[in-house]
Amino acid sequence: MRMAGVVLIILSASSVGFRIARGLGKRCKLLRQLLAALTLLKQEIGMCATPLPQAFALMAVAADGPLETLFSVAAREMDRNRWASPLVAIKKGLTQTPELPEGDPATQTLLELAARLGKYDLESQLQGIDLASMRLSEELSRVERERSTRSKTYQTLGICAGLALAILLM
Amino acid sequence: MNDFHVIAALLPPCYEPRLRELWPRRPQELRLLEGRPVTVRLPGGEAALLPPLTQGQLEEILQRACRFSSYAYQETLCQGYVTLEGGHRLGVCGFGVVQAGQVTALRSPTSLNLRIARAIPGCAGTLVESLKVSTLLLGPPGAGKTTLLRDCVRLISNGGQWVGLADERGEVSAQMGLDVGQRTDVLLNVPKAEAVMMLLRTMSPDWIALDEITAPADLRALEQAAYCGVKLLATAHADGLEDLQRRPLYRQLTALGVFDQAAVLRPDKSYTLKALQLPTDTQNGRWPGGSK
Repeated sequence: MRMAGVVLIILSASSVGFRIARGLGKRCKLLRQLLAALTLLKQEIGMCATPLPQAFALMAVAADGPLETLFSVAAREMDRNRWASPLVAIKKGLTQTPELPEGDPATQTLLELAARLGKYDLESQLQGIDLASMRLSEELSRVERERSTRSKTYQTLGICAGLALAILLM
Repeated sequence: MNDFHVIAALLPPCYEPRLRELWPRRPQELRLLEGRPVTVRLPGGEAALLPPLTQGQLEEILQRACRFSSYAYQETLCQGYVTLEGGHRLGVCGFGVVQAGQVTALRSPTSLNLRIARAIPGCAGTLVESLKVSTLLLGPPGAGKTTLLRDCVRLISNGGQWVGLADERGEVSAQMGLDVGQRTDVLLNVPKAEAVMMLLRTMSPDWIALDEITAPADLRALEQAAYCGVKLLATAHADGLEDLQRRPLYRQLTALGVFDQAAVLRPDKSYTLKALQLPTDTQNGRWPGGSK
């Protein structure tokens, strides 16, 4: 019985460490998907002059998970309501995407881009997307560095904390 | 989304109740000017919607008409209009941005003119029986040329012939939201002259239809199509055959002899079919640069 308790403590503490490490991996994946979505947006605007509601819908189809929700909500909002600017539509999408919380650097970049979208000529739109992509790439590099250096640390810390707790309780 | 909702969604919400009251009277256009009430043109009169519009509101209306994607409408905006879903046309006046002699953008709109399009299925029912040869639909602005053209295309197409529709502004097919017949190939947003040649080369149509002949390039394309055995159906701004002869471009058009008859529309929406005679002094004439 005592052994089972010890094993449970070690497993649960380790799982916390592993979850934090997996969170960094998920964050990298989300940023990569966001970069791919912006590349698609640039192509749709630059090559096909696709209006934003349709472009958001295409981005939703190309993405999965949180970004699919974000862009499909934004596309629906712009399609349903002519008053909805890209900023309003993206803000609405973000309310249903907890993976991109307020204050997050990626969220800020996305909001800045949305505020700029649809207002100016084609060249300015493309420059805005390039700027957002550059910022997201920087964020991705930072998260990848953090992941490579800290991922193992979090996992080890989790196991060690579990062991320490188990020894203390024994 | 029906026509009322498309139009009402563009305007600030305070105008919706009054516009809804006026809608059964079939408004033809809305004039939106900075600092003025919205003027609704109705058959046989006008009505004003208060309060006056501000410049910011005009800007926002234009943004909404472009679905917040002005880059997607840059080409037509430079020509002073945006086509909305349903075929309604928003004419734009404002400050032109000119680079190298070309209008590259229109900013800060000062007035907008929203022309409300309406499909009237069956309005060309009697005319289409006479459409055995190339026909020009003539009429002043607002006479219903585009509506008549759309219904002619639909009836010819449903009657068993293939029609190529060069719909540069997307108004005839209202970007494919309106019925233009089951045997109609629609080429959208391509300049008319190029569209005529593309349809001719690729779609083997029996008829080629286009709205508003406006440029010498259109004449060249029509001439080529006419001599390839395709029948033509087009519209032109003119208040009768005499008016047609007074305008240089249309004088060249009649001199080409590509149209055999003209349907002259009147403001009361009736029309008269007249044979197009070549003017005696230009019977063998050609417009400059013609390839006959």
